[in-house]
Amino acid sequence: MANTSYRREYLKLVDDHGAAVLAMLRRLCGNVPDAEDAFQETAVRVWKSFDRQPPLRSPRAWLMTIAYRAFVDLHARRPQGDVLTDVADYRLHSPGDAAVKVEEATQLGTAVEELSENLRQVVVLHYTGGLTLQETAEVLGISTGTVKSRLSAALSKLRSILS
Amino acid sequence: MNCEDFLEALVSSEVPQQSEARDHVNSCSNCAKLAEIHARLQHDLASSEPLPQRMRAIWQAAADESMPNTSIAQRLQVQLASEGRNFSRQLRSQSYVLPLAAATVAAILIFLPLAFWFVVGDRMAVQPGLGHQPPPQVAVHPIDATAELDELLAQVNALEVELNAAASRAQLLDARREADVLLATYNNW
Repeated sequence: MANTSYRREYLKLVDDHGAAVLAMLRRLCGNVPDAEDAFQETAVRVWKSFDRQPPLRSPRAWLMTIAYRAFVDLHARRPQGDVLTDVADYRLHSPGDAAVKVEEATQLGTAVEELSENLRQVVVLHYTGGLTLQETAEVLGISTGTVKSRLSAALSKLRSILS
Repeated sequence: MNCEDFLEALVSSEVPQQSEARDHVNSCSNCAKLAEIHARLQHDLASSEPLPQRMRAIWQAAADESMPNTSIAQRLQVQLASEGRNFSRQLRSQSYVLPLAAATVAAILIFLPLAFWFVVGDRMAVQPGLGHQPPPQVAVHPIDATAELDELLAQVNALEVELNAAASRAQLLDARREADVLLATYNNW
């Protein structure tokens, strides 16, 4: 069933978008082990559906959609875990810069964690997942207008949290 | 342009194209703060560290499941990564075991002498209304709870051994993760 070209494309997907998928899942799950489980589940689902539906139009959006659904299924089975403090992103910076960036990112990350589930998912899919407004709407099964209104609400909420 | 229009333009990513929006943000501190948060979200939330090699191995393994020519090293790497994650979760969920075991032993040590005292004490007490009679010959049946106690202690010991082994594996896992980080940052040394 699986031929070499499928396999090559499949591995290219993870090389191109795997880091973004894992980052998105970490933000959605709120902890690393659950995010890694969702990532593994994503890999299985992508491979299973790869020969049936090659992601020709927008591989990233296709991948993020599958990852999001894996998260939703995992989330339904498991309670929320620890809040993520993702300092690893900044380990490649100099110590001084890293300290400032970690502080800022932690503030922002904590503020995002405080958003309601609906607002947080829109923010994470749009900003971390890199999905357009329309793609975000398709993944969540809502209208583009709703995505815009949730993003607006999220920004206003974040402003009040951070100030 | 008012604040509502600005927010609409901001979430539609049209702000850089609109001079009106730029003018508005210069005169409105609230919207300036919104624009700053939007920029931080775009930068901070979009940045991600490189995908760890073990996660790529997990991805690869999903395909290898249906391909028999997977190398043993690949499968071992995936298995280790998966076991590490499962074990980490298991350890978090079992952190109550040691205090529970200690509480069980303490309860046994307190209640066994009390139970013994009540049973033997009742039989040796003088029955009311019969005056001073010589105490009847009491058939003392000693309670031999040694076996049960030994069994419980053995269970506690087994739990302790299991926890020690778990702690060792956790240390090994931490060391492996630290090695991953060191390898990932090797070029910056």
